Amino acid sequence: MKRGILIIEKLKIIKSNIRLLLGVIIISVIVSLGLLASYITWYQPLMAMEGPPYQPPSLQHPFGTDDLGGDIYTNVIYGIRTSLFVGVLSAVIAMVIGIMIGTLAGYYGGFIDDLLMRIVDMAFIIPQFLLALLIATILGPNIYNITLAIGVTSWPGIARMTRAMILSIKQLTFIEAARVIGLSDTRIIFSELLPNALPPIIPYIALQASSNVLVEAGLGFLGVSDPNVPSLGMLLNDAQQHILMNAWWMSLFPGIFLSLMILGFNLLGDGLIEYMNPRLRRAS
Amino acid sequence: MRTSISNKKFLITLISITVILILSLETSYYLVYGETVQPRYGGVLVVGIPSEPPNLVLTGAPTWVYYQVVTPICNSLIDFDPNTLEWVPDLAESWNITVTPDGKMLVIFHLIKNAMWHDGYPFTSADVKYSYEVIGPKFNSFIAGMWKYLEGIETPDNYTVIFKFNTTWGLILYPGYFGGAGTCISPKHLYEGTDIVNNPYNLKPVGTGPFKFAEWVKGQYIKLVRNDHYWKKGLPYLDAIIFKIIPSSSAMALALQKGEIDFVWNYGLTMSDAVALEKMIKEGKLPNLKVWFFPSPGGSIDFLGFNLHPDGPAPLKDVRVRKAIAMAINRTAIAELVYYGKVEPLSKIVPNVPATAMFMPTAKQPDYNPDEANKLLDEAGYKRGPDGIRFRLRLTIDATSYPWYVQEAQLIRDFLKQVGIDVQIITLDTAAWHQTVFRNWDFDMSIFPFVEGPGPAYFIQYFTKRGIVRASWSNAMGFDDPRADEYLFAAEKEINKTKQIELVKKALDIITEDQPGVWLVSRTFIAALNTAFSDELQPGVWENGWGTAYMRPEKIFLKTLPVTTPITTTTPTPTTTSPTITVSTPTPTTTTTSTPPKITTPVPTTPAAPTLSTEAIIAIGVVILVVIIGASLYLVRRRK
Repeated sequence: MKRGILIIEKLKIIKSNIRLLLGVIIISVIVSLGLLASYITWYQPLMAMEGPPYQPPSLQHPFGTDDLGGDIYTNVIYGIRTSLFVGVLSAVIAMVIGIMIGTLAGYYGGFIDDLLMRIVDMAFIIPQFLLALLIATILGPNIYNITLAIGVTSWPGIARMTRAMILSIKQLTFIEAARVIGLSDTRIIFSELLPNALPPIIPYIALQASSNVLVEAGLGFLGVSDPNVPSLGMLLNDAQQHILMNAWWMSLFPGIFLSLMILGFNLLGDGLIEYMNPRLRRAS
Repeated sequence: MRTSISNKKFLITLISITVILILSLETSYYLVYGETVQPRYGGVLVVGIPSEPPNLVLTGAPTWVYYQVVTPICNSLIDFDPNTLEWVPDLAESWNITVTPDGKMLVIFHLIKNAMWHDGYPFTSADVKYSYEVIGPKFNSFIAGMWKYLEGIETPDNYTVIFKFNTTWGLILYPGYFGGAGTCISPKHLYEGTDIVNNPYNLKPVGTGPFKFAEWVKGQYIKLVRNDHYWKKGLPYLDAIIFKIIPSSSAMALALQKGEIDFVWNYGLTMSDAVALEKMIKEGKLPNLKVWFFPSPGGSIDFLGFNLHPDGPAPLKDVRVRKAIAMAINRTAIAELVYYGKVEPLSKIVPNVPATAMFMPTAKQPDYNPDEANKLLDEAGYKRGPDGIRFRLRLTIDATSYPWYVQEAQLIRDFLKQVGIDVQIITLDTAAWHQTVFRNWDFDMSIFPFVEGPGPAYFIQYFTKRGIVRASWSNAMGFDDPRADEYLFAAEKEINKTKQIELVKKALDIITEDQPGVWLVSRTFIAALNTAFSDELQPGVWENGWGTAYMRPEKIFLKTLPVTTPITTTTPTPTTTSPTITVSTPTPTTTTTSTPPKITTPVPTTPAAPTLSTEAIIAIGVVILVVIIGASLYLVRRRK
């Protein structure tokens, strides 16, 4: 009887954190695929002529071959690496920029707040994808420029959120106390404000990463990708260019893994938010 | 008895022989003259083009999309026979090329007398003189270049033009100067005294051709309508031609499938989409479409050019390295994988197509031999490092105009990887590629879609010292071999075609040995046509598009229409028979005396650009107001 109740309790806990759990599982699987890429593939990435072109999936080529006879499975696995790299790094860049601007606006208030928030508003209006496309095309399509382009166009939401967090914490007495003692602004920001404001924002890195992975794939689909690096978006572009050849495997597999990645990051982000805010949790 | 039987036999044999003779005469007549083809009047041909020409100047800058739109509107002095590339009459009914004792050259054209501009003005020699003196040099690099050798143009009367050259310049025998490619004549009366570059007629041209410019909706389509006063009697047959702008190849292929467009000429369809269409046609899914591949009219090829300037990459300065790269690349694989086997992998400097076959030299490029390549590279002193790499090179390509170059570059990268050369692919858009490669010379290798013919002009432009200028479509490689230069410049001055060809061949032998790059594959052109349209009266009209009569669809007609009377109009100028155009059109039989019914193929409905009418704006405003009021009411209620 007791055992039964224990199990039910455990299941309840799992159920109430199901999102987080799923997200962690999916992302860990994907990350391990990316890390173990060289061990689980038997061809070189981006090599053509590994087999006859337009072959459907087989044992030799689990995801089939593309228009140049390259192995799609190898390119998908290495493409996951690229997507992870670009998605996460650009999310971190966006985080850094957003947190900086949000903190400055929230802490100093007044004119600086107004100015920065108007800038954030303008940044919100400019369509992120188009701006990233523009920047990537101007700088030249290599992997670092693309990461940078996506990173510097996805920070507005985070800035607003950080500012809100800072504002709410600013009211609390211990901040006033720190000011009374005479701590410098920088000290207050870094040792009092941020450590309290940041934790709720961390999950948004995951959400931002999922959105950035999609943007990177979108850029690749439009042809703005680094041809020296395998990318899921580039694979989808190839599939679209040769769509009349009816090679369904060229778009299915990159699409599945892309969707999984986005799903995983979303679940991770949502799950973390839920986990850190018990009152938002659905009643189990 | 014997005589009566033999008489009968004799009669029978005689009759049967006569019958056989008559039958064979009939069949041979049939074979020689073919079915009598009845053209029909009417119909609209919708052509798909991938981009808009920048302008429609008749004596303008030759680019292929521009030709397609402009050639139906205009005429040049002469045209080129598609197979022999010899001159045939167009606006000039006869001509004379003479060399004076002091080495100068006179080219005399006798013009037809009954041609009229679309606005009613008569066509005269003054138009020719003005086009070549004023308009051409501003827009057309060929004509601008002509003036180096041209002393002057004289017009002794309204229908005679004399071009005086200061030397015997052999290049005029080829398209680009008196015919083909942007050499149409422009109307002097509409340009004289105006600002040529900003003249409004650059965007709504007036010509002498079978079709008149009607309308240009930017970004959507350009419409041409029938010229009822065309100087070639009875032509054209179509009522109108519409050029629909479809920027993406898959959208173009889809439009062909749905019948929204009738014709695509090479530009706008990728090889893979064309091959896919071909497959569908073979499977019987597209009964109204035909797709075919033909050798590029100008001898287009893909050329992997090396940067040979003094500040270019060091390994490429060694001819052994260049030969090794040629040996490392399997050109047949490129032809198979990127071009579905529809193109010719190049073993020599020129492809075996009408435009360039005459210049085929004896020298050839090294065959595919990666082992030999590895040996040569070792010999040249570039040993493999611990990671297997000898040295790195960049491969810069125009991925916007030639998206399949990305795949070609990937294949080249793989081939060179196998001999220890690491290649970094740099994809640029068209403008950036021209700037980086042709003007800044900032590249190691690049894939150049060079057109190598017809005529020696292209070899001069790409492979001699004279071509080393910082301009688009020049000798970006910086390649210069004085021995080849000598032969090519001599060929330029030679008007005897046979002697000219010999000189060019010698130059090409030398250039092949020097290997300033790898001549990869020739290019095949694609055409897709709705089978309801017939080109039986103008065979080869689509294959031989050196931008002249062969892309002037004046004899194309829509087979599905009934045969009717032509729209007869009285021409104001006195009618003189236009000579020597071999018109095999039989006179259309009159079935009714009433005016022919205007049967037009459905004009593609161009989607109107979404505009917000005032009502829409008001409606949206009302909705927003209601939402805001409702939300605030709700929030207020909740607060309570």
